[in-house]
Amino acid sequence: MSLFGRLKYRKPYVPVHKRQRIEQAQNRTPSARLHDSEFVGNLHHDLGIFEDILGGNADLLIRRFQIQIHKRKIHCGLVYMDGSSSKEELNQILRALMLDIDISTHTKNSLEEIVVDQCLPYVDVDMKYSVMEAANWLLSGNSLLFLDGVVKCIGLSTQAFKERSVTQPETEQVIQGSREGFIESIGTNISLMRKRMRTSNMHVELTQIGEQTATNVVYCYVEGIANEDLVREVRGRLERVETDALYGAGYLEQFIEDNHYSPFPQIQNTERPDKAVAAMLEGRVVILVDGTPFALIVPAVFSQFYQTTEDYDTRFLMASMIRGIRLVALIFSLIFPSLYVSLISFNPEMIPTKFAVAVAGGRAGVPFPAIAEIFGLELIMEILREATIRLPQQIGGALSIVGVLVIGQAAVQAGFVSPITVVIVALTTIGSFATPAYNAAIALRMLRFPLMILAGMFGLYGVMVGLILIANHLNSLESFGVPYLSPVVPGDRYGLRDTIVRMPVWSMKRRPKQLRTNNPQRVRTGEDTKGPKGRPLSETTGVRRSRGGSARETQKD
Amino acid sequence: MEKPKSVTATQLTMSIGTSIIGVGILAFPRITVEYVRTGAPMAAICAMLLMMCGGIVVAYLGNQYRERTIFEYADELVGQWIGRLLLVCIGAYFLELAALASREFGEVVVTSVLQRTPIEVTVFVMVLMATVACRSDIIVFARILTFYMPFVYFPALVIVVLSLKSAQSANLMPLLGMFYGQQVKSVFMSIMVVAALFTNYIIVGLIIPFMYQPTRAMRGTIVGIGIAGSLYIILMFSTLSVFGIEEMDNLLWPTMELAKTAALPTFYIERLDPIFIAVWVTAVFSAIFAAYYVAIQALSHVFRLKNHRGLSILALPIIMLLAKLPPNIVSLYHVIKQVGVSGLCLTLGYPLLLLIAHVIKTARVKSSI
Repeated sequence: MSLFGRLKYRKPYVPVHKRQRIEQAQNRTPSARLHDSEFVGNLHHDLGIFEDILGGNADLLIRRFQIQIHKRKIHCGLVYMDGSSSKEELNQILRALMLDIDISTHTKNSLEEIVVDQCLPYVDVDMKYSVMEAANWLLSGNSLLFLDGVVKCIGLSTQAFKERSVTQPETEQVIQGSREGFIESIGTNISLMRKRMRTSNMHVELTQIGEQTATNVVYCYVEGIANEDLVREVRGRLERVETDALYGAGYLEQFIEDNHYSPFPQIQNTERPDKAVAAMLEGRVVILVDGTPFALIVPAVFSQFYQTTEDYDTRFLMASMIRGIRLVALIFSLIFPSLYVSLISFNPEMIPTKFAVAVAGGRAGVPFPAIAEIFGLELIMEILREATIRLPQQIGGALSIVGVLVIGQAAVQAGFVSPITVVIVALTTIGSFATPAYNAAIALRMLRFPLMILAGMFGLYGVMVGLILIANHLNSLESFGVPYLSPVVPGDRYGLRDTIVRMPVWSMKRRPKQLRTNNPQRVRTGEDTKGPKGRPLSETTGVRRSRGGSARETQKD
Repeated sequence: MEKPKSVTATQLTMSIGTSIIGVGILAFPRITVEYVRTGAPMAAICAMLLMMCGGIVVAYLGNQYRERTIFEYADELVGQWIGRLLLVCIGAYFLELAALASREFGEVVVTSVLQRTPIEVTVFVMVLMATVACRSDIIVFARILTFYMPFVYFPALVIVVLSLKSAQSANLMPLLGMFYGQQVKSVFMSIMVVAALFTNYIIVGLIIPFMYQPTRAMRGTIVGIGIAGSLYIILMFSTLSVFGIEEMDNLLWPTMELAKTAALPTFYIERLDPIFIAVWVTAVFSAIFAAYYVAIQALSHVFRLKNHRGLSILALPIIMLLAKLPPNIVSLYHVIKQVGVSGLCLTLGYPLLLLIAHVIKTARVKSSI
């Protein structure tokens, strides 16, 4: 059995007559016609292919001109997409060909070789032999140069799509640390990562996904660290994606995740290049999708969703405490309302007497049972939250104040809810905002509703039943073959240094064990190297034992 | 088929420790004290040692057949038909065990927390949870059991610590002459009753083929049974020292009464026992889950199924039926005692039989060389 699981896709069945109709329609599309055409070497014909098939598009432009080489007049054609190509660069190309051309030395080279090698002062020049290839090149914003009598065309990289500048990441802001975030352009994103990691081991592989959009998708990993099985699995899953369009990273995530029905995210996304690089150095694979300022990190485990890059930038004691607070907030957002319901409705004897009297006093005028009250209020809170996201920032702030303060106050005064309920709901909501990862926070926030219903039915017993179901699900979940709750279950004492607390950075000398990296040691420790406080580093990393019967030889305990 | 290796020795230890602690934890001090009075802690120690022997046998056999579960290599050792017959017995026994445990916990819940809820509902909820969980494979099974270990042990130890203030050492006396003046039969029965709580240790035989290092299974098994046994012994001591033998006879669930005596005077919460009941749902669930899982695995091997998933749903109505059989709580405990003690012959005898078969077989192979 392979180490990492496999996904199955089934093709839908299409009846024969429908399939024929679809095929006929497909054969008439420009891309099918482009596929059927070939270059012949006649400028009129070759340009005609593009004129006929793509000529209906307003942004396709063809510039015909002549150049002179060895006293020979040659008809040329430059095909480019208006707006997508840089006019300046095209002007320079024309200048190079029409004005600066000066071939004094006689060579036996063919015409296109002379043009490419001696006339075009450009970095990115590529021969295109088939029409399909040329058309793809053209539609990516580049331009094509045709020479009369040459049975191919010269692709010139003049792509100039508009892109925004690198700005601060919106969703993952930090107090200390880098302010650079990914942008929509995949090339810039790769360069942002390269900037942070100058190792030749970083490997960037490109695929295209989407029959119509042909979106560039890049997966990066560090060779010698990432497990080959993992890389193979990522490659396989990307290959097996069958879709006509890929709109973004979140779209791709849904194709390659393990359990499509789980509320928990099994793939982490990040807007921060430093986080992506750190993930790669842990042995993970980073997937970039053109057009999305988010990178996908696989495999992802649960603990990653409450960690932030800032945890590693601050000193370890502070970082551990802040992480602890975040975990408490996470648990709050999941079980607080259901705990309240079960205490009020089923086990009031557990509350201290004075407080119980106060609660009873607050609830005296409320006509509903606790479960109905808190369920309604939590629902309203979710509506308010969703409403404020869609609104422009200026109005959003005002609305949240109106929502929380005015509605809450009015609801209490109207005897609709008790004051303590408002407190509980507020605590829950604030708790859910303390989770750094939006997608994980929303999973827990949604799961609190079934928990509330269970609490209303069975009290504490019901809450526990719900939590057990969630825990069982989490335990059975895997992300690209890695148990979702690792390094807690299965336990890894080195991984636990960076789970609930964050131990000092110098003490974390191993990469996460569950990733089965080829190089489990972050730092190679020499015999004479001393760690902090003069201890030999080998002491701090523990005893190295090889696991008998383990999947690979290099895996060390 | 080669089995994926992903279970560590620590996981094995923790899984055993979790699966052994079940709903029996609530009532066993009373039952043991009925038999041997103050000899009860000693009975718990003896039971633990007895079951450790069983654990050693299973772990040893598992090391001899590293690629197969205990049910699979049994076919080779005792023959297919005897193996099947034994497996049917084991499957039936563990189904009954799961049913009785869910019924017992249903009674606990209905008596102490949800007085107005019909018992069928609470039993059904427990069984349903186990059914859903039983659809997972053995690796996930081990992971789930490992995960619940702190939730099972921590509250029990907290109770013990909090109730220490009302403990009286006089209640434990005579400490040394534990079985003095007891009939041999009742001493035997008391040990058997406690040992019956440990029957889930058989999961070792299921988990070993999925381990990285089967050689470490032996130590893991002994430590796992030891941890669970220590908890039983500690609870035995503390219930006995708090209540004494006279009062213990009147308490249906002494451990729960112990939780009621535990209190944190100045804190958010005035009473702790509802919380302990709630957290113990995990303990009960994990024990039922383990028993259910063993039963499903045994039965699916009887029918040579490739996948045990469907069987877990088929077993659901059977378990519900079995759980409904005892008419009241008195007869429930009667049945539990009988099934537990007779099942012990099965869970201890099965590995022992396999061991004998194995020894004979290897001896024959050696002599033929």
